[in-house]
Amino acid sequence: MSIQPHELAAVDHATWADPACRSAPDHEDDETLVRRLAEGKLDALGALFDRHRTDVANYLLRLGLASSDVDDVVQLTFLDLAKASPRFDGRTAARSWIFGIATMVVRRHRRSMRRWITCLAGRVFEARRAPPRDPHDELQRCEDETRFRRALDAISEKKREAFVLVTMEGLSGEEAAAALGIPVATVWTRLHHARLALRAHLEEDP
Amino acid sequence: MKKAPCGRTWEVEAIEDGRLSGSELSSFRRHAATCNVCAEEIAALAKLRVLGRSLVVEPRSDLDHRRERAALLSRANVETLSGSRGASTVRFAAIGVAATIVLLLGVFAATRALHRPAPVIASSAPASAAPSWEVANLGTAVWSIEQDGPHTHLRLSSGTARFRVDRLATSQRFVVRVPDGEVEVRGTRFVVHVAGARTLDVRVEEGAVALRIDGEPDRMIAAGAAWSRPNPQSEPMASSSSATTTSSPPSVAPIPTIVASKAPAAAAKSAPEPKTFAFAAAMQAFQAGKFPEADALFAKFIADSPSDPRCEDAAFLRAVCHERSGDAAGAAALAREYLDRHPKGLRRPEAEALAKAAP
Repeated sequence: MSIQPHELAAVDHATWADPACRSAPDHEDDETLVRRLAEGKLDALGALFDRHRTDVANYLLRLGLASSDVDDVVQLTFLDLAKASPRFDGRTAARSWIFGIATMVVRRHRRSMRRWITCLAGRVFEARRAPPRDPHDELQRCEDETRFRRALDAISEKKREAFVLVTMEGLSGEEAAAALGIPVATVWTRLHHARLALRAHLEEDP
Repeated sequence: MKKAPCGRTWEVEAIEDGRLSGSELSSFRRHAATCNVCAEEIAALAKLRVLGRSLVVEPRSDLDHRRERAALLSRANVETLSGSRGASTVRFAAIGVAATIVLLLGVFAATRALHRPAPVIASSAPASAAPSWEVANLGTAVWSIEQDGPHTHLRLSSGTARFRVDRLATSQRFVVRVPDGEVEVRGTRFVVHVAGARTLDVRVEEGAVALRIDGEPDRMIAAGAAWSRPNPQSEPMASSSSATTTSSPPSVAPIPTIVASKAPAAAAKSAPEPKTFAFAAAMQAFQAGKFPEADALFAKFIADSPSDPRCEDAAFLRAVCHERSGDAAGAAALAREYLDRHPKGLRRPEAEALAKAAP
């Protein structure tokens, strides 16, 4: 009989004990892992974390989250994923569903005043960092990346989400629509306007 | 942004998004090969894509990933058991305001059926027609009550609760509604465990209950017997008929009779203590802070069931019992024993820490 999480309820954080989880087999797809997670099998959460942590972190960073907040928001995303797993119906790919959860967590995170203050402080710090003293092409790359980050931060949240999901994360229009809870046509519209806005900002920011 | 003089530049985005295919795609590619405006547009969108994908998080070391994973699973476990969100100092003020609002709503809706965290003990209000009952929250239960004259419907959404229901009159009914079925009692004491919108097990301590679970045959469970949700890879648990379920299936967890006056004959007291009950008893002692007793029970469990997969956790928890009792040297010795027996055990990092902590 497998160990159930409730059987280890007494082992608290003081002993740094993990739940009794075992790594999920590699052949289990994401949808199966989410279903097992809905049954209370936390090893499935570990497997999903192993597979998608980097993608989620990249997505959050591309959405404009301060790098100092990425770790916290990644944790919150996977915790929300565990709570939402019973509601996963399998009609969309698990990966796009995970991105949808991450999007909601970021929106909630941004509404927190404390995070705004931290973000502002982070932005000031990042703006003051001196460019690396590297060969010309590396310097150019860093400058391009900084300019692009400023342009990305300048566009609206809705346009940014559509652009990041489709262009940067490689989701299809249908997957992005499912993640954001909007019609596919709206995804294309926001994406079109995001590109227009980004190119305008980049042209104005030499 | 300047207006493009070519009337087909809109197709550039369509290609970038994967919305063109077949003949339309072929046609535009032939056009783009000879149109500088469209070629520039293609390059501009490609540059945007490349710039975007260059924003990446620095790769994390394997150790950092494992630590973050362990922290996540610990928080998830706590939140699963508590049924509440993890502690957050950032949301404390908002939670305080929300709690005040909820309190006011709760007072206003005191006579309605609302989902709320259940008290340790709740019982029916004295009513001549309604059944007399008590329910004990075993730590995580969330329920609500719907009373309709002599009929009591208790909706158990999640968690574990113990019920005691006095023998019912002919017109009375007491039904525990679970997400995937219901448990109807006729004057009994039993425990129901629900998790992830599924009933995982039902144990009857006294009397009998009728269990109706979606996808499962209806069955009666008598005192001393239990029903557990079958593992999809194991054989079916219940007997084929809806007759009284006995304790014979190895994966069903029979429990000793606690009160024999109203119950039918339970399992013989001289029968060997079941493995699951032995582990559960050790865990209960641990939860109650009775660490010497828990240590002895875990040791007995390991000796009686050496092949049980829970022996690894029992061995680790023995070390924790000694640590909690102030016996650092004993905890270190047991931790080293754990490391010897389970060199690739899940608790290896914690056991190593305990082994090093001894003076």
